[in-house]
Amino acid sequence: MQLTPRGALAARGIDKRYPGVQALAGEVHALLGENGAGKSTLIKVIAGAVVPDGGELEVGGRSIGFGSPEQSRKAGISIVYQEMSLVASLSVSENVLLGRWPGRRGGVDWRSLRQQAKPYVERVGLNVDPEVRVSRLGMAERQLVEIAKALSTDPRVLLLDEPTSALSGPEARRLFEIISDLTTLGVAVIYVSHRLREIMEIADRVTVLRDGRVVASHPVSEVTERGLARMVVGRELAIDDRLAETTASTGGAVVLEARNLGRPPHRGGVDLDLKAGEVVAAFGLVGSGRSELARVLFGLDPPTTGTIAIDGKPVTLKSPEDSIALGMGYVAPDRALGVVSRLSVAANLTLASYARVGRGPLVDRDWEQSEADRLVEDLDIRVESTDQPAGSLSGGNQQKVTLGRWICAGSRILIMDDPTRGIDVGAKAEVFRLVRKLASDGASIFYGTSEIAEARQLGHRILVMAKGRVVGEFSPSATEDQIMGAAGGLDV
Amino acid sequence: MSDSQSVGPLGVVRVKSPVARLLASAGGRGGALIILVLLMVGFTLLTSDFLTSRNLLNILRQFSVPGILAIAQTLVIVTAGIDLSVAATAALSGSLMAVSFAHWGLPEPVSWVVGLSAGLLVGSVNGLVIRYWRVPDIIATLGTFSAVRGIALLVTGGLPVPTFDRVVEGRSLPGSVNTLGADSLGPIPIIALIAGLVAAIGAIILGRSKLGRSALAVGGNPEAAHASGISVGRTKLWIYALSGLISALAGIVLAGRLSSANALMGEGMELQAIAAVVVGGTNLFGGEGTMGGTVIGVLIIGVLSNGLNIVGVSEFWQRVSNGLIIVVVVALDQWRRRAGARGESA
Repeated sequence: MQLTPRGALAARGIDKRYPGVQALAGEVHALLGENGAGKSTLIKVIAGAVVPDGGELEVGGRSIGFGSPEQSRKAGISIVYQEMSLVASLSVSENVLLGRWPGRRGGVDWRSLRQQAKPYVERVGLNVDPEVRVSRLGMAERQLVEIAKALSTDPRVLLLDEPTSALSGPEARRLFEIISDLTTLGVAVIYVSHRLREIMEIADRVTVLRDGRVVASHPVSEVTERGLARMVVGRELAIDDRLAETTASTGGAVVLEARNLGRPPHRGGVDLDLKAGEVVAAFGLVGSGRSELARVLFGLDPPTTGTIAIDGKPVTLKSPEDSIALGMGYVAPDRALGVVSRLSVAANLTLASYARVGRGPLVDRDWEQSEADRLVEDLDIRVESTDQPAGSLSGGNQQKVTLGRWICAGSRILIMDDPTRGIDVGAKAEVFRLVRKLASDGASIFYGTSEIAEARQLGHRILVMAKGRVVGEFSPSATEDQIMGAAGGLDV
Repeated sequence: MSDSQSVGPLGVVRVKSPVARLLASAGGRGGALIILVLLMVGFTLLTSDFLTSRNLLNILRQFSVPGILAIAQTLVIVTAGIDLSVAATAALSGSLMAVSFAHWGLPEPVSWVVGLSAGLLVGSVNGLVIRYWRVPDIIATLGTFSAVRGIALLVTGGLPVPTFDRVVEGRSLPGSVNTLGADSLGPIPIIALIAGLVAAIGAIILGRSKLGRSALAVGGNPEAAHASGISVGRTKLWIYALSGLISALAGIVLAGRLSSANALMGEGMELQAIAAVVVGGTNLFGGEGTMGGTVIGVLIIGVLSNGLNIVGVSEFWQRVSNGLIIVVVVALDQWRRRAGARGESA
């Protein structure tokens, strides 16, 4: 066993595709890799949530055992999971100190609970009453509670698993400040993210995982964003980062027309025209009303105000059944909303179509197989077999299956809401390619996103959303600052 | 559906040692088959009375009705629902069939229609209450579980049918019911052939039909199913109606097997059916299950109960062992799923 000088954490030779990494005290160490590369598993091993079959884990040069979150916590490891681990029915302070409530005579000492939690809540810049229930908070606020909870154990090692995916720009800034404060105190930070730009900004060192192995580990100062992208996917990536062309949209007929469309909690409505062959990118941060608009457009939620017309005819979308019959499709930001993980890839691809194909009560299996083969080929979905459960695919491939479902159904209006959230750069490039191809084949696409770069690359027009309204419209040649300015003007 | 559903999310169940591997598979369908074989070998060694054709046919005859109910139950559980009313529905349907034929003097085919319609109706009520009143499945069917027995008692006056002083001159049970419930085709009880036929139809519904596909999707991920244009409420309504219809058939042949119907017949069979489904590897949380597994589950429950009887274990201990086996098999299944999940990478 070798000594790790200054090493706050060393995870070495962890078996079964769990690679080794080392994080130094006072350093931000970024972990990068495609979905399924082993990042989340490694994090879970370090946190004690998953038991590996071999290898060792050291904190400050001392070996610690695997196997229980308790042990990892005692060793000074604290973790902010991607999936929220909060109890929604408890208050903010109760959650921050979950499992470590101060006791008094067999009961809970509520006053000291509040006092102990307070500094951590303030530290993450959470502007809510610590007594309010977590269920009443938004996603971004919950993420901050999660971080406060991790900080409250005064960790020597802090693990963050895609912490910014639910945060808005200013909130992410605040998180980066907290991280840099912690590193000056000598805390080792392990930071998992798909956002290369973030990693370039805050990390000192970056390790790239692929198929459970470390393929590269460099100081961030020695790498470029493009170089990182290449390391992640293992080949030169044909990132088509040209901006969308503005002219493409002028020719088509208006396919979907929404007027004054509104949905709580926001007042006021949205006007939207979607033409054939057009990608309209809706840029908006969490809470801007972008996701709510997407759900209303697809008939998942009823609008409180306004009307929708398809091909000039007013329609009432009572459920997705109605919108699918009109040729619409929906790709959600949450992959769990997309595939039915225990059903086969083939069954998932035909999920929106099988009921209408073939006469009689039986699924047409020949048709299903040929559709599945075609789509797996066209969309380059990486599968061993179309019979394998969809849940066994990586996130990017699951998202492609969901997209393939609508191609199978012949959808001509696609409502996509942040479809690349949490998927890696390689899969993201594939999704971009498919969106462009669908549009050039004549589909109309509403593309909601929380990243300006995506909006500029895909949108023939860019709508900026805040507080449930469209607050600006830009062409893709507008600068990021102009777009951000429009969004921030109302939202920050 | 495909075999791939019994394995872990990566298509591989990763565990440490051969012993652990054996234990891990013992909760799945392969495991259920192993348990069935072990039980049969065990009872064969313990007593020479077990492995006789007479005894094995007896098991088939006795567990055909719980088997048919388990097939209905499988369809429901796959949607992440549960139907506590199957046995009560069977009793009501069997009783109504018998009463309408023997007491009311209706023609034989009409009495069949009356019995089957009663089941269809109860199932539809379950589905409608769940869909429109938003009552949780377990509560809705707990309601019918009790109410339907009550209706059966009202219909029969609490007496076995045919009741001596109420029968229409010369009538007892319909001949077809007696034949299907009590006769044999060669050595094989017809009631077992019916159970086999229902299982085959159930397997086609679950594995091949559009309804079965919708049921698996709704049980596996209701939000995704909804967003793909599959109506969760309508799918469940169809499945519960079908469950009621199949239960009705079970009740009618049960009356034939017993040579009379009564409102309290089949008590506790809903629990036997649920146990068989779960032992057969169907996921209680929905989205995954097979008819083949359920058939094996029924056989396990049947062999265990019959074998313990022959060996001379008291009825009291049998209840204890029945409870134990359900919990142990499901615990093994959970353990297997966790082992599968552990082998999964990030």
